[in-house]
Amino acid sequence: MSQGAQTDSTDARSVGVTPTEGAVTPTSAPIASGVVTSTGINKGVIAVGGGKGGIGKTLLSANLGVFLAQRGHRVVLVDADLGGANLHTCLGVKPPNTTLSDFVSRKVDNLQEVVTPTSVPNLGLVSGALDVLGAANPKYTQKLRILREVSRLQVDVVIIDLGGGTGFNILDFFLIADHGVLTVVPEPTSIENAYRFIKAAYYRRLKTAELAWNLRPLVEEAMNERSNQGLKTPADLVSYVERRDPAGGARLREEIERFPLKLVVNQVRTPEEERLGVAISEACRKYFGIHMSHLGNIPFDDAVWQSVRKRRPVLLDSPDSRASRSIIQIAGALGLGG
Amino acid sequence: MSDRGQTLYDRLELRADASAAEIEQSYRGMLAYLGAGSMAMYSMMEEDEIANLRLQVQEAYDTLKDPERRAAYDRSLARGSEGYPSLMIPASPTDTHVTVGHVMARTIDTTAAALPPRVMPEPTVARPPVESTPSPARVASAVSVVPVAPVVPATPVTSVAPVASAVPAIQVTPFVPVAEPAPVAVASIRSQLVTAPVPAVPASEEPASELPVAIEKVAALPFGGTPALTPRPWTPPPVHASPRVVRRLAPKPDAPITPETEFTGAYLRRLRESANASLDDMCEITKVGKRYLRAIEDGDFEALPAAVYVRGFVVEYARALALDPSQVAKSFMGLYKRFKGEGG
Repeated sequence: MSQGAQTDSTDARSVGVTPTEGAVTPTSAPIASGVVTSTGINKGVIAVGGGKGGIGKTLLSANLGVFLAQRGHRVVLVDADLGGANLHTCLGVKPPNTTLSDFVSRKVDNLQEVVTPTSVPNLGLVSGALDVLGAANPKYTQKLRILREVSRLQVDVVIIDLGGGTGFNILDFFLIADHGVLTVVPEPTSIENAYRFIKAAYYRRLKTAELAWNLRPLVEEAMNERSNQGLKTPADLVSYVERRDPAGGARLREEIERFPLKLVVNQVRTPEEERLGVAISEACRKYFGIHMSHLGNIPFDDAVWQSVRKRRPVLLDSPDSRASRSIIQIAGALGLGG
Repeated sequence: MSDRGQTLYDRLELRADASAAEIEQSYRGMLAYLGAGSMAMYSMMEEDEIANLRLQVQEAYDTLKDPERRAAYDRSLARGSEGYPSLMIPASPTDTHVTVGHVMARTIDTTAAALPPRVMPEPTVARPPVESTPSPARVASAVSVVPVAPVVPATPVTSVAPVASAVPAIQVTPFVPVAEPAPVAVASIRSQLVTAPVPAVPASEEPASELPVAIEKVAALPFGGTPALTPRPWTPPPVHASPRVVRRLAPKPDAPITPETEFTGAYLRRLRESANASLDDMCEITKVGKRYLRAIEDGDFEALPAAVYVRGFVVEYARALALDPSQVAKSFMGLYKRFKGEGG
């Protein structure tokens, strides 16, 4: 998002994802939504999160990456599940020699050098298989460096696979994305964590957003008041600010509406579960004041776990499975189906 | 999440000119996340908050899906009654002391609004300003849809134009044994009896069934043959009286109700049936969803929401049957709490 667009990109090295990669975009523009690349799609950073483990974040990231790469887009998958990375396993790649930890420890200067090729042409991987003790919790400056470099990767699409939880490291990766995709499974635990994630991301965004000088104290006041003023949802918070400063409240509302949340429901088995995504996004709109579009569902499909055992993305292992087809539809819903 | 100032349309996120299909669609959509079995709102808010929202949506839907009730509601909206009295809002304490003149004026207003235009009476009674607080009459307005007015002029009063204060302070006992489907506010009958301002309307315009029912109702009132002329002084009803002006049923308990009487769901059902009231009638009077009424009668505590709401439902139920709400609530909630294992 804005961080990426604002950074000076002239020093970025145009290193291709695959060794044979030659068709680098002539302009070294940073990745930002709305920039149409040589391959004809909107460049973008997609972050996949959800606040809980085992809900299909890695499944969706890996297979979206495979699909887009197959379509000829240059894609880098970033395994930001620091401390619990296994995206390489899903792709059937052995733990790469260079990982995000080398970048963090400054063994390498450019994130592009950490990109490992995969069996799929055009698809690179930045592995987060961090062995360095403490690297799962990078310092703030290190994190900023990763975020900056992620935005500068000279590819069409960056897909960030986030870990579970709602820590700041996870949220900050989520918030730089052009598409923040949440996955949930139809279980109360997952839904509970998803709402926790949405709220945490939202408040983190408000904390870090560029706000007018006179709005900042009001927002902070509202956020501090939220336990004792009954400000339970983001919508309550906006109302709180709006009552005190109508114009500022309106700007805040705009800021929230730009929050690019998307939803994918995974492991869908019943017709009722098929409707869950729309129900959640409606509930979010109504009671959180947040627009979260429902991208689609991934059905519960034996092909998925079978492919994981083979350490192959389901899209390669079983391209005609219902799960594979649903992931292709989700790419389409993201505007990346072309 | 306050519902003050919200119309029933707001609750369903509809415009006031929404079609029946839109009402249905919006309701279904909201049920997808507010519905009892839905996971979509899990942890977003407390279970009882969700249950409350569900009730509000249900209430709105129940009224708006029914063309007659919707029309009556629309008219009450047009009169400037912005909000809709939620079933959670207790009757205002001031209502107990409302003068008869006031009650009548409001009731007439309500009755007029509830009548289809074809039987709209000529304004023959001077109306004092209608209070802006949600009055019990407003509650009644959503309920009373059967036009009784045309029936009354069996005893035509030629020129009635008294100011409210000139009307003798008369009240009738709220125990009106009424026949099956007759959702009529007692007060509206009362007002007709006292002022009888309405010209007769050709019976042919009425649905055949309604006329005899309404006459029967009038006949069943504890007055002489000419009710307008023989007003009976008001005496407090034997059981705890509620200030609300709503249709009252007259249950016939097989044994006298004592302070020891236990109000189980099954017993409440027997009382309701003895009053010749269907579950639909009950739903209409109490504004409580049929599902919950049934769960109360079945003693199906599992299907009931948090205690605070159940208590509200039971109180409404008791009021409708002219029972002592506090006794019924205490007894029923005792059972409920025992079931929930909260002691008691």
